[in-house]
Amino acid sequence: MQHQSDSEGQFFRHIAEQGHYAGMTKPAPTRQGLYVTGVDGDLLHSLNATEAKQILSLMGRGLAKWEKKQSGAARIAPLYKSNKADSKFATDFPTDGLILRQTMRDLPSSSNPRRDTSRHNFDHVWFTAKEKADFTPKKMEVGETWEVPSQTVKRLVAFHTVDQVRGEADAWGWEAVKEASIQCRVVDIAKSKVLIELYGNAKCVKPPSGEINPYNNKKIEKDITNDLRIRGELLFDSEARKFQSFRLLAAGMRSGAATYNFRFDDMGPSPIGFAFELLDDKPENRIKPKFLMWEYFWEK
Amino acid sequence: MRFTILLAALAVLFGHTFAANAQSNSKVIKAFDAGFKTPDDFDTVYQFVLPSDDDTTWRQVPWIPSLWQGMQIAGKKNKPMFIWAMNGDPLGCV
Repeated sequence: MQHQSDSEGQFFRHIAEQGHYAGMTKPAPTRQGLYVTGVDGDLLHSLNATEAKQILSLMGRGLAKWEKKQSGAARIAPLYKSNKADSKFATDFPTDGLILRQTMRDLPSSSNPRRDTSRHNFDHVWFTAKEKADFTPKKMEVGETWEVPSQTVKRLVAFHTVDQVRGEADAWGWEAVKEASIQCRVVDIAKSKVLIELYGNAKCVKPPSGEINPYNNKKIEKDITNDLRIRGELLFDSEARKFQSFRLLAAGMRSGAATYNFRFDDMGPSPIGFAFELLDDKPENRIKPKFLMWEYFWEK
Repeated sequence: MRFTILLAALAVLFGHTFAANAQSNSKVIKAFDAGFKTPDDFDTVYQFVLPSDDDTTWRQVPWIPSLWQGMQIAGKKNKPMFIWAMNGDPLGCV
């Protein structure tokens, strides 16, 4: 929203410039955070936090200020009453595509069985109709096997096996994906319900960027890596041509730190898991995935 | 006396929770180390990664995915807005 040249973007910049990062250019020009605001563009309270208590306090303080200033209905400034969405930020969901929710989490290990595994993060995964078809069998027969095309697996690995459990990181570049494969096999058929098992691997290595985190001055001096096994169980309805369940897991070892993923104290190798589950096609589930190639989803 | 009973009860409760967590972790470690090839091992690791219901009570909030749409609704209802604009968005990882 920070960069959108439409009413949403204008409104967001207007309130953000009254908030916790107003005018900030260093160490970064970010305006990310939580904001309580009136529709008139008058900011009530804001902060950048992830702790529930802090967020509750923000809401309480924002509401108290709102109640205090209430004297009649707040009005949306005319500037924001119509919205011609900035096409650069269009988030067209692919026709007949598929939405998965991704959850990522650290895993306990035999060398650290009491590891703190409470932190986790989410993203959405979009598949185009063609990518969805890559996971469906051509013949509805038990024993039918096939390989998911490497372009589809490589994109899944590059965008959705990134260590963002504690913070954020860039997608793996194509050249960083050293291995990405998924094989599928039909293991059972009951009427129109086809049970499919998936097996695969993913391996990524990104050389150190030398970038320095401006908040703690730590430098990226080591490779960032992952080495994952992929397993899955899909239930496909061959009559409705729809997946009823899409349970996919990529888990293995990760190492290294990205500039903003808060791993400087946990360089690894340590275990990590990425779990994927099917979501309904509802507006709130159509929040775009973090990593998108702008034209990818509407050229196909 | 009551205080002691309460402490004892808490100790039992925490001991039980700790033992349950340790048991759950050791099951996950075993399944992970075996490559989560069997349906049971797959399920153990898969379920461990997914958030619990307690972790996701915020999903009960009817979030509005568009700021502009939220502004129109808040304007009509004369309510303030709570905007989540950061990495770790409750609806995704934008």
